[in-house]
Amino acid sequence: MSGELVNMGELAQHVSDGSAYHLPEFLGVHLELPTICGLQLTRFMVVEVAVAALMILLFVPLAAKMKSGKPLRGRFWNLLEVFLLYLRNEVIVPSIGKKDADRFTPFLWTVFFFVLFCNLAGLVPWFGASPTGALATTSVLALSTFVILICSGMKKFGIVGFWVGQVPHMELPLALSIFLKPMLFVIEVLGLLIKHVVLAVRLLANMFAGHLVLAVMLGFIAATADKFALWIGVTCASVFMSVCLNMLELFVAFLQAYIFMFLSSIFIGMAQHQH
Amino acid sequence: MTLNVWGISSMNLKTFETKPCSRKTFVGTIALAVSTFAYWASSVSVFAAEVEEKEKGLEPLAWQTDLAIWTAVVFVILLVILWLFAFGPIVKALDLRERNELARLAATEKSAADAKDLLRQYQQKLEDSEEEVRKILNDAKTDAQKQADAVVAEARLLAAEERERALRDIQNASDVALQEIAEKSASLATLLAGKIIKEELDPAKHARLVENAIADVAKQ
Repeated sequence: MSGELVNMGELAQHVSDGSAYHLPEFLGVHLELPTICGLQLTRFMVVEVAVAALMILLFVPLAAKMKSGKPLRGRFWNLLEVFLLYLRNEVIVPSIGKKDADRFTPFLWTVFFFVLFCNLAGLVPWFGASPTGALATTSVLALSTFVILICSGMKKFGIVGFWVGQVPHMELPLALSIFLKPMLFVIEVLGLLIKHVVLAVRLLANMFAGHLVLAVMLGFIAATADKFALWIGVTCASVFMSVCLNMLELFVAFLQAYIFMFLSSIFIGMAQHQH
Repeated sequence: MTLNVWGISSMNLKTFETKPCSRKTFVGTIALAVSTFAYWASSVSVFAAEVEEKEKGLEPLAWQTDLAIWTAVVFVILLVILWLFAFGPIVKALDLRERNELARLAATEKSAADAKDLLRQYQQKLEDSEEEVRKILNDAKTDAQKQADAVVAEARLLAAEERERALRDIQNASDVALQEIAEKSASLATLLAGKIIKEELDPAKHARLVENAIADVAKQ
């Protein structure tokens, strides 16, 4: 590979955040994002706002159509409803329980579609890479699950009750319980924190790695540009592999959104039904 | 033994069982916790910004405080808007639809049960009617058999009476004939005896005489 033509730093810029849009050179447009009140706008910020706007444009009219309680008409609205119903009936209700599920359903739907659309945004040419390929984004999403979990748990069991409830019930003599239970408490609380850190890292790693592999795959084309015969073969193979990987990425975008929401609902369910 | 912890909730020290606090206490404690967390987060963000400045442009996975705050703001605003105007109403609409569907299902099940009941009633009526028809037919058959038997019996009786009368007539006629035969035989015997007495009879004459007498009787 020709190191002069391509380096990993440049490739990483195409899958990580930045303050400019890399449009094709023949368009002659270099879009530099502005700074607002000292805050430099980045591609991920723009994508997040676009995703939020798209979700509002999709789901507010859907809510208006569903308000009457009658079945929806139209394939598109039914498709959206299928998503919502599947997540509610097959994931959220079994994880949290019928009684409490509806209190958390709006949050979990928001998390799922926000993550999904952010993941899919990375597959749209020139729109910018996935914001879920940034640690800051996934951490905030995992933190939101953590905050909802803690607040709902404390509301249900009381502040002390919630934290004490992290320790499994054990029939121990008082002396032993004074020794063991604080240790178990520390382990359980650390476990709770680690679960959410892993939640953030899992999504980040999957999305970033996928986009990086795609970028590397296409980078082979530029790397062999100085050897025409090799370039033809590598270009065909790279384009074919990129198409296959894009299909995989499409699947991964849905899968990771589902996993993030699924694990969030399980964690919330565990907080609602203590040991 | 119970202990009141920070006025938040009551905890049994032996079993570690607690009771939930009131809403007012809960909100106050959460506000205190959030403000403490905000102070801590601001300290961390200053530290993170310093680290970020050093790592900028080198590490694609570096922490971006601006993006984190931006994401949090966008996500919270999105969550509130969707909760109020989309997902909240959708959950209510789904509940409403679920209730309607359940009511419709219950009504359908009731209708099905009513229809089944009605069907059972009609089947019972049909079976009763069939039973009645069968009974009527059996009765009719029995009556017809009885009438036929009566007619046959009457016919047999009449035939028997007729036969009795015929036999009686025959008997009477036979008796009359025998009477007449007896009377004729007696007169013939008397006549024959008279003739026998008049002439002496040898065996051949005797036999001829008897034959003649029989022939006379036959002629008469």
